[in-house]
This record gives sequence, C-alpha cells and structure tokens, in this order.
Amino acid sequence: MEGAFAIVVGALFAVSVYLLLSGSMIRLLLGIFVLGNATHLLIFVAGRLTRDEPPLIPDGLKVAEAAIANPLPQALILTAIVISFSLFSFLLVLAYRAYQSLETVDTDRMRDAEPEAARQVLRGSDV
Amino acid sequence: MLLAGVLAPFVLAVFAPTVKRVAGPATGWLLALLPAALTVYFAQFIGTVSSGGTITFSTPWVSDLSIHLSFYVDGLSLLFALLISGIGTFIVLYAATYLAKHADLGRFLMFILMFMGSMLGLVLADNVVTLFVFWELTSITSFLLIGFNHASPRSRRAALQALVVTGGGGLALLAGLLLMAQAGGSMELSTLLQSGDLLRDHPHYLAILILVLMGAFTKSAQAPFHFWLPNAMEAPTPVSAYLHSATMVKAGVYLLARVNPGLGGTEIWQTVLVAFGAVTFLIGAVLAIRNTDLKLMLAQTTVASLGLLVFLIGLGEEVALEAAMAYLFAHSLFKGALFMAAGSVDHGTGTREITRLSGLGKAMPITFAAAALAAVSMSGLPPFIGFIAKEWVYKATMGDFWPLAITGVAILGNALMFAVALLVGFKPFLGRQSETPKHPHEGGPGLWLGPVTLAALGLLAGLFNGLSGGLLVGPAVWAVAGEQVSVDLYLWGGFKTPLFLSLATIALGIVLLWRSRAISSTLAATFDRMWGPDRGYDQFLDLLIGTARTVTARLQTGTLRHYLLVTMLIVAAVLLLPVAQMGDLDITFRIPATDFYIFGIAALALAGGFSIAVFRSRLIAILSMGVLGVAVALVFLLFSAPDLAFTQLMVETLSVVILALVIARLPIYRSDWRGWPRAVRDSIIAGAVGVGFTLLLLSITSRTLDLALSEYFAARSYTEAYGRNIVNVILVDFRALDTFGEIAVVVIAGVAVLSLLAMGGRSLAGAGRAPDSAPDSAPDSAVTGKETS
Amino acid sequence: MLISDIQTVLPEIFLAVVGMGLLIYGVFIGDKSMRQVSWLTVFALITAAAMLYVFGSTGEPEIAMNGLFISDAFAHYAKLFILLGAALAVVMSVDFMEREQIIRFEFPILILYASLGMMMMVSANDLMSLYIALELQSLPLYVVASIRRDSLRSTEAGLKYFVLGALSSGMLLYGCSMIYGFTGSTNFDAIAAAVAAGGVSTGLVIGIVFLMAGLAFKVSAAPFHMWTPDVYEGAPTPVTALFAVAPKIAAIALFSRVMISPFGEAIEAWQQVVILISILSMALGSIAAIAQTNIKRLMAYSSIGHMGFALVGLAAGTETGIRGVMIYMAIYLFMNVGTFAIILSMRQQGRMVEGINDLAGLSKTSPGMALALTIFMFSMAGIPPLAGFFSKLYVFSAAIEAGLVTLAILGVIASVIGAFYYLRIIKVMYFDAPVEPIDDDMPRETKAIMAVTAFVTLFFFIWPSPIVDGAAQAASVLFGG
Repeated sequence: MEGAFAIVVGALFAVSVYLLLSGSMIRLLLGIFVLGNATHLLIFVAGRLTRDEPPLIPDGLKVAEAAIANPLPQALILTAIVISFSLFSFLLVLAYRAYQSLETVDTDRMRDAEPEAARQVLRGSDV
Repeated sequence: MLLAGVLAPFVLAVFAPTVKRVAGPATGWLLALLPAALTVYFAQFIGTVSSGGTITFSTPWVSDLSIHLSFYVDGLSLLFALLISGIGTFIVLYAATYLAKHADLGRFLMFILMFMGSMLGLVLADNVVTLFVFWELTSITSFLLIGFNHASPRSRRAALQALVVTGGGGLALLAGLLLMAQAGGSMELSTLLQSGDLLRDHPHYLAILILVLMGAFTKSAQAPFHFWLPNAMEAPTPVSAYLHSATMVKAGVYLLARVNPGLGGTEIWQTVLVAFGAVTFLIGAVLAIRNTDLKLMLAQTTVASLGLLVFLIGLGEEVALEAAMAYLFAHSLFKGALFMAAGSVDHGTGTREITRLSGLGKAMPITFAAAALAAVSMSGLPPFIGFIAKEWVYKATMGDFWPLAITGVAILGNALMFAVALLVGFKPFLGRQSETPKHPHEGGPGLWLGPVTLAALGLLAGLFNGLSGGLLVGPAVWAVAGEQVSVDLYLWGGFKTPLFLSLATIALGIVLLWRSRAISSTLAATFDRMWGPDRGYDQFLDLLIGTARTVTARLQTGTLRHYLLVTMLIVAAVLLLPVAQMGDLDITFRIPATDFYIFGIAALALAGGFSIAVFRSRLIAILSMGVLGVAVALVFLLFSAPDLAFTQLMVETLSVVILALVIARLPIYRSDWRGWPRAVRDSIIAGAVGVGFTLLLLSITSRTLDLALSEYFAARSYTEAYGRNIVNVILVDFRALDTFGEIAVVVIAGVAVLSLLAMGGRSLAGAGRAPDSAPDSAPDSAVTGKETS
Repeated sequence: MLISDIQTVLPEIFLAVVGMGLLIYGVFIGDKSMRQVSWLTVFALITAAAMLYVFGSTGEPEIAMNGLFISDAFAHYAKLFILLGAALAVVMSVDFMEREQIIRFEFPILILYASLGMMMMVSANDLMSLYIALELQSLPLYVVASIRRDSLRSTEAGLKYFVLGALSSGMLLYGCSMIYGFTGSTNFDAIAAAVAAGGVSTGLVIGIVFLMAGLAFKVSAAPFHMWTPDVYEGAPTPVTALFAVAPKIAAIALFSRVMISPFGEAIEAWQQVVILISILSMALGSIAAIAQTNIKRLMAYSSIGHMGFALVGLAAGTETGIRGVMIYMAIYLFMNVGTFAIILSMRQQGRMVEGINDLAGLSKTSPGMALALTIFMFSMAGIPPLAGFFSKLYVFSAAIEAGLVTLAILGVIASVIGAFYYLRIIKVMYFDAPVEPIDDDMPRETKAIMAVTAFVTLFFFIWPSPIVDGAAQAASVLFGG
C-alpha cells in the first residue's frame, strides 16, 4: 500500500515544484497549497499505513489490545495542518497586498530591491 | 615589569594630546623621556643576555586557549627593543619639532607612542597570539600615521593600501602561527622553537611556512609586495624614518629570524628566502637610483636592505646570520639618520627633489655632517659598522654551495646602494648653492640631535666592533641560530676575498655614481610605463570588485523565481546525490493484491494534483484544489485517522474558500507556458524532486518502524491521562508544549492577517512601472471575468 | 504536567501570558499605546531573562514536558543573549518607528512572540517541538519584515522572505518526518540511541541534510541566504537589527544542539555538509559584500559571512568547537547591535540615509559615532585586540584542533577579503571629505547602547571570562559534561 502512496507523494511534490517555478503568483500560491498536502501525506505514509484501526482505546480497557494505527504521526500531522493553514492564510493576505502595492502578479517583476542600474558603481581606484 | 615596559607607551599615548596642550614647545622633550627611560631599562638587560641568559615574564590572559601575555628577552628581541626605544626617543623629539606648527601634533605623537608600544610588544612577545595582536596593532597605527595628511588622496590611498597588504598578510600569519602552535604543541615561541624537527617534519610544514612567509613578506615589503612601502612615504618624515625604515618594516625580518630555529634550514626555506630576498634586493636598489625624490630614494634602498636581510636569513649559515644581524643593526642607525636628515632638508628648503638641491653644506652644516656620516656607513666604507656588515655579507655569499650568481647579486646591489648613499648624503650639500622654495636654514636641536647621534653611533659601533659584536650582534645571532656561537666582528680581515669584493663594489659604485643622472633617466624611461605591482594592486582591487559585482548579480537577481530555482535544485541534489553515491536504499516494492479502490483514491489525488498544474482558469484551479484536498482526507479516513480526516476537510474547505476569494481579485495568466528551455528545465527539476521523494519514502516504508514511542503513548494514554483517543491525548497531554506553541502560532497568524488587512492596500508602484500588460501573456481581467477561452 | 515542569518552562509561559495581556491592552488603546507597549515588552523580556536565573536551576539539564523541552546551561546561555538582543532591538525601535511614522502597537508584541519562539527553539528536545518553535519564531518575523506600509521594498522583501521561509520550514519538516520514519522517534535522546544502535542509513542522511537545510535558511547561511540582503534592506532598520542578531543566535544554537545531541554519533553524515555551508557562506559573505554601497545590504552579506565563521566551530563537532560557536555569537551580538545603533541614527536633515558614502567625514562631524563604528568594523574584520578577533580565534583554533586545517585556512582567506570592506568604511569615515553631515541627534537610549556595546567590544580582551566561561559551560552540557 505504501508503495502506491509513495508514488502519489512524489507526484504531488513534482507538481508543486513545477508550480513554484512558474513565476506567477497564483501558481506560486497553488504550489504551496499542494506542497502542504504532499508534506502531510509524506509524514502519514512514513508513519506506516494501517487499515481500519483508529488509535482509540475501547471502552472498558486500559490499553488497546488489538493492533492500532500509529497515533504519533497523526498527532504530528494534526499540528502541521493547523500551522500550515495559519501560514497559508497569512501568505494569501500578503500576496494580495503585494499585488495591490506592486500592481503585478509576476514575481519576476517584483525586484525593486535589486534594480540593475541606478546603483552607484564602485571602482578599485576609488578605494 | 616587562609588561609595564610594553604598556607604558600606550598609557602615555592617551595623555599625549593633553601634554601637548599643557607643555607647548617642551612637549617633545617631555614625551621623549619615556622612550629614553625604556632604552636605559632595556640596556640593563645587556649584561644578562650577552652572557647567554634570558628574561621572561608571563601572566595569564585567555588561559583556556593557552594565550598568555608572555614576554621573552633574548639577544634578538633585546637588539630590536633597544633600536625601537632608542631611535624612538629621537623620533619623538624630531616629530615634535618637525610638526611643531601642525594642529594635530598631539594626535600624531599619540599614534607614534602607540606604535612604539605595539612594536615593543611584537618583538618581546613569547606567545604566538600575543605576537600577532601586537603585529596587527603595528599595521593599524601605521595606517593611521600614513593617512595623517588625510587631505591628500595619495596619502589616503597609501594608508589603505598599506593596511590591506600588511593587515591581510597578518591574518595569514595568524593561521600560520596557530598551525605551528598546533604542530609543535605549544603557544610559546620559546618552547616551540626548541622542537624544530617536530615542525620541519610535520605534514603541515609547507602550509605553516607559506602562511608565515605571507605575513613576513607583506610586512617587510618583499617583492611582489614591495609596492606599498614607497607609497607609504606619503606619511610625514618622522613616520618614514621610524616605521618605514628602522622598525616596523623590519618586523617581517624579525619574524623570519625568530622562527629560523623552528622552520629554517630546509631546502624550501632556503630557496624561497634567497630567491625572494635577492629579487627584492635588486629591485629596490635599481628603483632607488631611478628616483630623484630623496625620501623615495631612501625608501627604495630600504626595500633593497630588507631584501638583503631576508636573503641572508635564507642562506642560513652562521656567518650569514652574523651578517644579517650586523647589517640590521647598521641599517637602522644609518637609515634612521638619513631619513631624518632628508626631512630636515625638506623642512629647511621646501623640496626633496635631489636635482634641485646642491650646496646646502654651508647653510645646514650639522645636517650635512650627520648625513655624510650616515651615508658613508651605508655605502660600506670603513671604519663604519656598515663596512663590517658588508664584509660579512660577502663572507656569507662565498659559502661552499652557493653559486657565484649570489655573489654577483650582492656586488651589483651593494654597488647601487653605494651610489645612492653618496648621492643622498653628499649631493645636496656640495657644490654651488641652488635656488630652493624656502631659504635654506638649519632647524632646532630637535631636528639635528637624532640624525647626529645615530650617525655617530654608526661610526662608534664600527670602531668599537668588539663591544657591538659581543654585546648586541652576537647574542642576537645566538637567538637566530638557536645555539650559542662565537661572534667576533672586526674591521680588518686581511687581504682576503671579501676585501677584494669590497674594492670591486666601490669601483663599480663610483662608475654608477658618475653616470647616475643618465642611469636614472634611462631607468625612468624603461620602468615608468611598465606594469608594476602597484598598478597590479589597483587591477587586483578592480578584479575583486568586478568579481564581487558579477557574483552578486548572478546569485542575487532579486527575483523570487531564481531563488526558488536554486532552492529546488538543492532539494533535488540532496535527495538524489546521496542515493547515487551510497546507493543503499533497500527498497522492496510490494504491490498490494487487494483494495482496488485505494488505487482509485490515489488516482483521484493524482488527478487533482495534475489538473492544478495545468489549469487555465480560476474555476478549474479551485475545483482541483478541492479534489486534492478531499482525496487526502479520504486517505486519512481509510487509514485509520478519522481525526485527521475531519480536520483536513475543514481546513481544506476554509483554505479553498479564502484562496478563491483572493484569486478572484488577482489577474490570472491563463497559460503557464514558459518557453521550451525553461519548461524542460523546470520539469526536470520537478521530476527529480518527485522521484527523490518517492524513492525515499519507499525506502522508509521498506523498513520496520520502531514503534516504541507510539506504544509508550498508547500504553499510558488511558492509565495516565484518562483519554481513550490516543491522538488527542498525545496532543493535549503528552505534547502539551507543542500544542501551546501551535496555539501561539495561530494567534500570531490572526494578528498578522489583521495587521496586514488594517494597513489597507494602495498602489506603490512607481510611475516607471506599468501594470501588468505583457502582450504574450495577457491576463484576463477580473472585471469582465472571462475565464475560458 | 507537573509543577516542576511549569517551573522549568516558567519564563516561556510568562512571556506568552504577558504577550496576550499586551495584545488585549493594545487592541483597546490602539496604536498610540505603542510606546508603552514597547517599554513593557522590553521589561517583559528582561524579566524573562532574570527568571531564567532565579527559577532556573544551576544549569543542570532538566527535561520537562514529557521530554519535549530541555532546560540546561546551553539553553540558558543562548536565551540570555536572545532576550538581550530582542530587548535592545525594541529599545532602539521606539524612537525610530515614531520618527518614521510606523506606529503599530503589535510591532513589539510580535517581537515578543518571536523571542518566545526562539527560546523554545533552543530548548527543543524533540523534532516536532523544534518545528513548531521555528514556526512560532518565523511567523512574527515575516510580519515585522513587511510592516512598513509605504515601502515597496518592504512588501516585496516580506513576500520573498515568507515564500522562501515557508519552503525551508517545509524542508525541515520533511527532514523531521524522514528521521522519524527511519528511527521511529522524534525525541532527541531516543534518536541518539537509535543512531548509536542502528547506524546511519542513506535515507537518514537525507533526512538530516533536509533538517540542516531548514536550519541553514534560518541562520541565513549560503546557499540559503538569498532572502537576507533583500529583507535586510527592505525591512525597517530596527527590524533588520533584530534579524541580524536574535534569530541568528537562536538558529545557530538550535543547529548546534541538533547536530550534537541526537546526531553526535553520526558526525560523518553531517560534518561535510556543515563544512560546505560554512565555506560557501564565508566566501559569499566576503566577496559579495565588497560590491555593496548600501550599508544595510552590506550588513546582510557581513552576517552571512559571520554565520560561515561561526559554523566553522560547529564543523569541528567538538566541545571546543561548540564553545567557539557560542562565544562567536555572543560577541557577534555586541558588534551588530552597536553597528545598527549607528545605522539607525544615520540621518541627514531628518531624512534616513543608508549609503556607505553618506558616512564620509563622520570622524569630523560626529567623532564619537565614528570612533564607535571604527571599533565595530575593526572587530568584525577580526583585528586584535578587539572582541571579533577572539571570536574568530576560538572557532579557528577549534577547527585546527579537530584537524580541519583547510577549513581554517579558507576561513582566514575569507576574513582577509572581508577585512577589506570593513576597512573601507573606516577609510570613508576618517579620510573622505563630508558631503553632508550626519545629524547629531541620536536618541539617548541608542547612544547608550552604542557606547556600551562599543565598550564591550573594545575591552573584551581585558576580562573575557564572563562570556567565555558561560560558553564553556554551555558547550560542556551538550557533550554530557
């Protein structure tokens, strides 16, 4: 089972990388969205897959007797999902604000911080 | 006590400007008392040292790195300490008179005194780090002194150049010293140098040698680093006389002499030192006769002398070391005197151009006397100490295995020095008095006391050669040789080869002197247009800055896409390189026989992912996101993670809704076409990353997982925390801290979003930038909402 | 959760509670409360630092919260300097933000939460706690980087910083999940046991490298440095000052702990990577800085270079190496805070300037500032006897001791090149003619910070033991001493 999902995870990573490299902000946002899902699946699969045995302790028992799913990755993913959602919503607002002030969604054009010209040129003989 | 001796100049330096304000014209005499007292203080060690003893002092400083403030007086350091404090006495006097009218005299004397302390610390230091600290301090004070006339651009350039060259070399020296300390197992030079064989046989010997030589050669202006020294003549003359002839530039020579017992004696040491020394010797001597500015001529002969000293240390035999120490002593005396005399001429006449100076003897008799005495010593005529030193140079070059060429170099160099010495010492003073910018006059005693004393000492040291040999030069040679040898300096060695070589030198020197004008102009015509290391320094800086700019432009394009590209390349490399290199991922790939619908979910996720990649409209993008999110939630649900599935569904729904809201306001490029080269490149990177993750995940799942931690939680979930949902228990109880952090993250995200929204949005794009309207990728407008084409 | 647990985590809880309180206060009062909130934040940060010593133990390692949190001499040392750096950045921001009209009460609170995240980072004893702490630290920093509403660069820099930062957190998370997948645990001690027992497989190496990539981003080491110059330049200067110091200390400390504690046995797996990162950072920091004309960008490259030097100590992987790293970071803090105090005060007729050439003739117009900046520049160049020389000495000697001779020599070469641009600033200040003088109206607090940091940098050599002994103790606990 894990084998099949390993391929899915790989494919999702590939998709997200391709989107990230596009240079357009919307695709960048989508890329990060896909990346988050890929990561969560990665952790999930790395913790091994178990069918139909949720990590619950049945009533009346102190410990689970049957084999149950690995609870730890689930706890980790739960945390990761919440955090990535927080980050994602912040990113969305940030991206929107960037669009408003920069009037572009082309990340290649967001480079005021490093304009090629108009910088003072320094020469060895000046120093 | 030694520590106090080193620190005293620093303390006095702090008060120098105050002394200047209070004492006025007496400043020089007052401040000179300290170096004079130090001279006496060091002189009292002569007895101990000349009978083979040493004086040490040590106090812990940074003890966990074995750095101590430790000092060590033996023949070598004593000779230097005496020269530094002795000449320093006259320099302070001289400077106070020479710059009497300068507004910043107080600051100047402060720097000079700081330099004196640093130099004393350098030559007395026993600990390698202490030595390095003082070494760099001399570079810094030299920087401040060369740049003293900072109104002049040449002087600024010279100051920075000297600092870059010597300070940079100094850092190399640090690495060398630390390596040496590591190899020899001690930070103290006195201990280190006794284990010379250990150092010479150490695998890092070559590295140590190169690094130490970098430090020494830059400091002592050996070719090809010799260019900074003549430029440093932009400094006021007292600085040139003190730092750039008598003391600081000899620090490199001092270092070579100091480490000679530890690093010297190997073939590479001899070859490198002799070769660099000889080349520097000739370059300096030739450039000296080419120049017509008194100070530049002297500066070039200093380069030559430093070359000669390195050359002699490189020869390494006992007689060569004797020659080196004798010459070092002689040189400090005559060069200090000549520089000060040249400064007095400049001071008295307003020019240093030798072609414009003649017949000053009458107007400046004392200066003439001092210059003449010093020049004779420099030219190597008896009975001066300079003569003895030159005789010894010849004795040294005639060792058995040194080819004749070495002797030839010595004769040529010495003859040139002979000519320059007489030019500088006599030409300005003899003949008919010339017109000069100022009416020539003798300065006050502050100006002539130093040169006269130093020049006279040169004569006395030659006459009383038994004393100077036995008390100063001899013990210094012991320190350099690493063993006590008998040193006996004399003026008359009989009719032997050295004497004939001396005569030959004098003859050649007279010819050169006679033709000096012609030689100078020929050399000027040849050399001035030639490429030289000084221009090389500029070119090097240009290259450095050019490289820096290119590197920055390449790496720091400012576009997020490039940054992401680099990051993704690294991710791909990290994933695939170790596999390619080690190749032991142990993958066993099992196709599960049952559960056909699991493949359905996998396919759904894949479909969602791929349609996001190729979407051409907002609707499809949002739909695909939904599909992907649901598929992942289904995976969680199927594989026993109901909590995850619910959270995923909720969060995913929220994300998609917010994303849809934002996307609706952004213009959207329908096509993601990047052109073939980029598309191929990006696909390859994306594919590599994907394959890497798949392989890795397969490798992980092919192993059995150690479930100890999970079982720990499962076992304690109910018994300790009374919870039946193990995931919940882990989150709120066992991993409460993480949850606490998580909540904090959510709070901040809320604050952040509100904060950003509160700022409001308004366009800041300047007039220079048009809004998106690239023709090849026209965005569909958010207003018309045309999404499909 | 036990009472002793709470006591161990008390400074963190205290900060979180104060942060909440300030947030509520700020919401009610509005932006005009910024000055008060700022000073309260400073007070809270200092109180938290004091609590470390009052409630903290004598430095004996204490593990709390089910093994997620560790409080030891190493964490104490790092936290002290983190809190100091953050507090100083807030102090310097008060006047600056008012002048620049960036009046937002949440600014100091965000810094407070970022500091909380940093404290949790250096105390993390579990991969997941590490990840959360890192996010807790990063998110407020993303916000403050783009807090300037009137600046294109600020917005742009914020976006770049966030995207790259999120990606690096992602890498860290992949690393964590791989390490978990291969060792079956996220707890440092358990991982260390697993590594000792089962050795290092290729997959685990990849996991470790991913983890390192995420950490390298946070310390802005090459090749993950790309965000640094843009963010340093785009962010308001007090934010840059904060970025230059506190998060770097936290990230380097975390980096050291993660490499030594769980993966100490796997040094062959990561040593080469640290060496590579270190060399790249030193080289890039030194070379690229030369071409800069903006002093904030210059400081960005300078910090990249400095991280390279600090990593030399980590590359050694020995106790002396880690001690060197810790000393390096402490001294780095003083030099940088001082330098930024000066950059913050670079105004000509009330207008901010950031060009290196604007410093021309500073020695005449403001000799005190020029002297202080000279001390910082000489120190950063590694020229003795200033503090920066000793910090380099500590890491280089550790590297030589560990047999990394080539690395040490490359480090020296990089510092030679690096010395050049620091010296150029000194030359500009002392030797160039002033075009327009820098205003002489440094706020009192900033002046005090400049003076004190310059004093520490200058006279470290007289009494090095407070920093050195603390660092030695911190390093020894990582090695179980």
